[in-house]
Amino acid sequence: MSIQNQDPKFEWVDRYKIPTDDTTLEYGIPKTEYLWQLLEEIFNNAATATPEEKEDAERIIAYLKGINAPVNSPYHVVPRCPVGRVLLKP
Amino acid sequence: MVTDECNYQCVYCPQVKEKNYLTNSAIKKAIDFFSPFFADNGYVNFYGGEPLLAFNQIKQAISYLKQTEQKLDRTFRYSISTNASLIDDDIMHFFDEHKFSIVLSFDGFAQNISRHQNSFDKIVETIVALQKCSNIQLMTYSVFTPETVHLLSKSIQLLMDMLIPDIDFSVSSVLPWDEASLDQLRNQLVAIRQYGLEFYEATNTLPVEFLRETPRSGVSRCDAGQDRMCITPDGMLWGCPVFPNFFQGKEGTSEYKKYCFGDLDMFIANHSRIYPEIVTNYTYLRQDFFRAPQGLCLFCPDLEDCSVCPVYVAFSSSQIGEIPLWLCQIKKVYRQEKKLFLDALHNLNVHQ
Repeated sequence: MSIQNQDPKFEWVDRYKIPTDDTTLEYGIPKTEYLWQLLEEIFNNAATATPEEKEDAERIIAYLKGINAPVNSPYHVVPRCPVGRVLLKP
Repeated sequence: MVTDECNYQCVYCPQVKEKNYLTNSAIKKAIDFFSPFFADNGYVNFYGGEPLLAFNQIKQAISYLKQTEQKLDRTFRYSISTNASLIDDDIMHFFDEHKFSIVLSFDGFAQNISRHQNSFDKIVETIVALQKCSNIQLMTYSVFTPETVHLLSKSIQLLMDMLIPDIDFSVSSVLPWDEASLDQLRNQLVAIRQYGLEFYEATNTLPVEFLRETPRSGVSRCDAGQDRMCITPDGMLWGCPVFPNFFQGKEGTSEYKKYCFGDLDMFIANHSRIYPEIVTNYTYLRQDFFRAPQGLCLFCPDLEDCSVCPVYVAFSSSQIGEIPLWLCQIKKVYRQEKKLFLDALHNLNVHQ
């Protein structure tokens, strides 16, 4: 099954060769866990990312935001508020 | 946010001032509902407008919070972000009694230009008086614009000489910065780091936030809606006080609906449905997902050294998390100057 044929929005998924089985796809749409993994891969290689990979990352993020998927990003984030007027130090 | 009224009209403030005040009944309801969720090291922060215009509401809130502390066998901490213009002996005593942390908005030598004419002397007097109150923790926050940036380093030096323990400053995200202003900013930051080093040698302290090391341990995330909530004078709930400022006049838009938790009564009745739905949108407010004109911040080599407020940038770009080029450049200048300072500090400590 070609995801690209089903929905041109998922062209970038084909590029990452998502195996078309139940572990990565649900109703022909990539599972969000899988997309977070893709993002992590792109993040880990951000320094050498190609223009296509940069575009992919934008689309993945836009897609995940659009479906209101809970953020499940494996790389490390730290809370920081740069607005001094709101900043409350512990 | 106890009121959206303010007695100052600062040139860089994006907030639309009105004359709404939080009611005592909303304050009590909010305390009853949220206090069981307060973290041990958390604060109840009073914010405005100028919050001291609503000093009666603040007193009522503290009185009710004290009762709640007893009921829950907990101790809360209090803070206020104020321009200090209304602080008198009674208010000072109140802050001292309740061990307030005070974030004092004071623009140093730019005060009379950016904020309020003839307010400089009064605020300096107030700072000196506040420093005598042993239970008050004091921090200053200053904002500079292209028009006042030439006063930045002198102002920060003044605050250091006044022995303020926590000094933070930023530049206006509302007014754009041209090349000449950016050059001026760099010169001012050079002067701050040079004075900062002298100050450190003399006192062994680093009161200026800009000169302190930030651990490079990950991508910045905005915690609005996750470790903090804000109630506005009209009883609406938001992730932090910057959001309602940005969304004033944008009621009913899809973006507004993404970030507003709704009114307090509705939220209390339906929080198990509303909270997870809305907070998901807040979890996307991370530096790697923000954008600058060059592209997604995810691909910026300085990603982990950069942190912007996604809403403050929107005052200029109109889009949450969309960073204007000039702000990106400002951040770069900050990083370069900070690195030079930390290298010099390291060398100083090695040779001592």
